[in-house]
Amino acid sequence: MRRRPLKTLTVLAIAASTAAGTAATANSAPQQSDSRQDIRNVIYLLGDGMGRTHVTAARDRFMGPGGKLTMETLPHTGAVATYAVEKNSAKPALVTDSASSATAWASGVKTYNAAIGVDAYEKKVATLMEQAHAAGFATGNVSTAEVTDATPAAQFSHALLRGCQGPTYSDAACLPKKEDGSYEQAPADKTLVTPIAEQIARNGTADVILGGGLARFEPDDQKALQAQGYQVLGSFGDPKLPAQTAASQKAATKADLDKANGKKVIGLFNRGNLTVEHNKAALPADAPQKQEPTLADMTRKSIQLLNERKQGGSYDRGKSKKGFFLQVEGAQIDKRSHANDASQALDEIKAFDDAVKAAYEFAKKDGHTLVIVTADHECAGFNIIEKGTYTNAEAVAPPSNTDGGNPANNSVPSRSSSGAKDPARSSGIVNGTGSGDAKNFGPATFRTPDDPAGVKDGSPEASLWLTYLSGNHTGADVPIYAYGPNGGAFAASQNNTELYGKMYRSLFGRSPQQH
Amino acid sequence: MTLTHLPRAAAAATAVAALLALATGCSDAGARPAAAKDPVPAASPVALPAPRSAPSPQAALSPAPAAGEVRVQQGPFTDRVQLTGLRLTASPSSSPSVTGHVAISSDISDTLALEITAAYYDADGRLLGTGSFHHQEEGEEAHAGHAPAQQHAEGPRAAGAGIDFTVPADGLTGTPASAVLTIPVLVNE
Repeated sequence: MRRRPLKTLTVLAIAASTAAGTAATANSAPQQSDSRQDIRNVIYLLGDGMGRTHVTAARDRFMGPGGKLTMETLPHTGAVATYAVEKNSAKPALVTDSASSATAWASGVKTYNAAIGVDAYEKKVATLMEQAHAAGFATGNVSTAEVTDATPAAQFSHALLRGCQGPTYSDAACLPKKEDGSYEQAPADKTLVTPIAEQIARNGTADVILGGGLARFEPDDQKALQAQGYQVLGSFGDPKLPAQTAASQKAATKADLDKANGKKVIGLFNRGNLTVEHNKAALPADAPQKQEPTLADMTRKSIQLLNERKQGGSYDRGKSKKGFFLQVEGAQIDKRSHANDASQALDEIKAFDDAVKAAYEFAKKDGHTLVIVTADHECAGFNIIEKGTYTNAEAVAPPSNTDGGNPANNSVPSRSSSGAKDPARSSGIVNGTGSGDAKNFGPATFRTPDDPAGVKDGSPEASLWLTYLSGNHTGADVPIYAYGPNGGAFAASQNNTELYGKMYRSLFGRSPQQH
Repeated sequence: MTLTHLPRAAAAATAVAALLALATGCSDAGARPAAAKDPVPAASPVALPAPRSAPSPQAALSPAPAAGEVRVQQGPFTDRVQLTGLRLTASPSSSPSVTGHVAISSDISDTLALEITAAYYDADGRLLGTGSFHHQEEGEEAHAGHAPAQQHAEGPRAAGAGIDFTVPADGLTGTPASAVLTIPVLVNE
């Protein structure tokens, strides 16, 4: 869209807003009239497994309940529904995994859990990163997980199963099973059963690839990447060996990243997932994990590399400079939530928010960058309970609901006789083996900035009491925050598949053809 | 409105439509800027080599392993697991197998997929055949039909207490005296 005189734009914006009606929702507080600006770059950040309560708990923990995380300062807010569908059908599966959810926003289709870049019928679907790359935008994919993991993979690979990551092919990892336990026949499109690492190393979809997962790659992948012009940080191994090991590969380091200056860069900083920040902080200074960059480090560097890159693609919207599309994943929020590890999950949310801050600061200076912050799904039913109380799971017997027979539901609920409130941290007896150790089970307690000095994490005096409902994903909607031109489009209750269309329109200025 | 004003009005209407599309996120082909060219409508085919297979087991081990030895071949994931209680069972009354316990030592997330392969050798170090153990915990495959029980892990998660495994050896050409384990697949949540 070309720049127009302010008066004309103001009139048009008012007309558009009036006609749109619901575009700016009540929970949105636009701080700028952003539709008039060119959108050159889109930065999409997601906290894997980060539900609404994860954000609130991290705010309480690090900022105090009256404070805000950076993501919460973004002016446009909304919610995202995340459900998947069952395979070979459109029937909803109410709880998604990371693969299905990432495919939804990357390609605009609902698909089955474990699917990467294919629809519910195993048909390959184009991804936004592929389309942006083909159109001449610079592209980046950053994660604290292995870069072959579901969330990054769904932007730059296609596989029938998320487990088909490599380094080698396996029927069990790459082919879905039929009801009788036998494997499906291999598809005609062999890409769909080619290990994801092999695809990433050859398709050139992302110009900047930063994260973990070195063990998935082999020396021939490094050779293929270098042949495409990638600056490869570290080493993928010794081509003379039949299989690579920890001894034969060299993970990239933050120092390598700081020096990187290629138009295309791949840096894999761990053979598996990157080290959880909480653990990294506790390691001695000479530990190799200390050489890993943070998610904020990787975000800043990828923005720098992508912003400096001069694109020569064929797509031209009449802009003076080609933009970029960058996806950034804070992966460990989910991984630690699966383990019901509130302490490390909170630290990972903070680390993710630091990455959001890096993107937000760039966007504010740039003026042509849309920043979107959301999650793929909630994990584990994370929640904040009142200090000194307990959860139903801890009860000696199922707590009764004294309002059960009251149609007006206006009496005072009471569970005084059926609970198992613990005088210390209320860890109850039905949690199973290990419940005697107060560190093992909830409520996990944490001090907040408002607590008096001397109040310790893990003590009953700490004001933030946290629990989990399960060890797996839940079907809860997740929050979304946006800043920048067209940010208001995300201030809505929406399906995760809609994110694809909205990002597509933001990048290309028009609707996706297949929608 | 005069005729001379129509082009401007039309342009304004087009701009409104474009703004509407941006504001609402609605699909609207009419909102396309004239200068825009079509981006790639579908995933571009990329020339890929045939998927790599895991290295084949050695046809012969020299010197031959000690009787009953279960050796672990170093590979992409062996630094991320702890294997304990490895034992080769090769009694005449039962099918040969390697049993043991595996726990993920480096990754702190759930284990979604794990494959352990055993190559079985005779007393002279000659390869007799192979078997594999598969473990799936999440995704479509985890909810679909399961492999035979002896090949599929049940019970606690590999990332927690770990899992006991049995690698069956069906169709060997002789009685195994030793085995070499490899881990070609390990996928964490």
